[in-house]
Amino acid sequence: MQVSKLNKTQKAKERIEESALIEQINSGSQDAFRTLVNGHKDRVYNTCMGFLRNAHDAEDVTQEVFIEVFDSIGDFREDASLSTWIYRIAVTKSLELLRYRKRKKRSGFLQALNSMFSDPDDNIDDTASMHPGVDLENKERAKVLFGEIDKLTEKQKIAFTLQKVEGLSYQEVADVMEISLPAVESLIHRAKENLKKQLHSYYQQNEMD
Amino acid sequence: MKKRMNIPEEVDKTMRSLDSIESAKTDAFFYSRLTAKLEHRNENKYQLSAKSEFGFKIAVAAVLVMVSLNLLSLIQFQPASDTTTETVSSTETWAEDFTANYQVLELSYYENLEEE
Repeated sequence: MQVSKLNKTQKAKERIEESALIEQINSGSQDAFRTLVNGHKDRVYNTCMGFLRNAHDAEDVTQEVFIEVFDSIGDFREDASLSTWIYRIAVTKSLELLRYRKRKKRSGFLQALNSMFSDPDDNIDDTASMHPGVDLENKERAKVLFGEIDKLTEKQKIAFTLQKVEGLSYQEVADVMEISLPAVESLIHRAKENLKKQLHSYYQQNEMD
Repeated sequence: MKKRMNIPEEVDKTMRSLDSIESAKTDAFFYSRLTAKLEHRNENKYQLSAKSEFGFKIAVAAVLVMVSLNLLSLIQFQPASDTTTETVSSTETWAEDFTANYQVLELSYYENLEEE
């Protein structure tokens, strides 16, 4: 009982601090913006890394997230916490990039043409990308798992990645995705079931090969 | 000989491969790179707005020039009201000249030839 009361007081204090920070950023304080960036950059970067698994892309998207925050902090309604709002932007931006990459891959002819003229950054080898937080002995397995996560539905993928890679609680995932807690529980349960099935057929196929 | 896989165990191990994942971190210079990008973006924005402003001015000037040229041509070169009559009469004169020169419609031409 006392712990929950303490938590509530702490949350209320954080909200007040956030409001003050937002007000300072709105009035053009660079120091306030620096405080906000330094306070959230690692979590945003890790979230982007969870979806993109490429350091270069994750860095780019993290920068885009803070530019968006800088541009639209005036429109921020304080019905959600600042970090939830920033997470939402990070997820949206990461998925936007993934969708863009998918579209690009589909148009094979254009891609072949593009590879002749585009930056070398656009043609990064997918196999080389991996989340840097995975320990060495699990690297191969994590690569297989990430490959199967990519095949999940978008909602399952978001819920599973935020919970598993970013380590958010179910309630935090629900806040970021703007859905109910039971919906998150169901999404993560289905994601795990689907992953098990997918991995099963993956290993079956590998055994046959 | 190829070793047989214990698939349920492999699946279980792979599912747990992200349990000990550590958080990825940006480096200490992230904020500097971000502010540089913000400044660069603002510069581009100003350049773009200046360019579009210049383009708008040119478009307005071009439209004004076209309108004034049209007005001038309307005032200076009034269309002649009897153009059709003139054309008809000039065509008739030309036909008369042609027949006169080449004696096309002179009926006695072939008669004269026979007599000769």
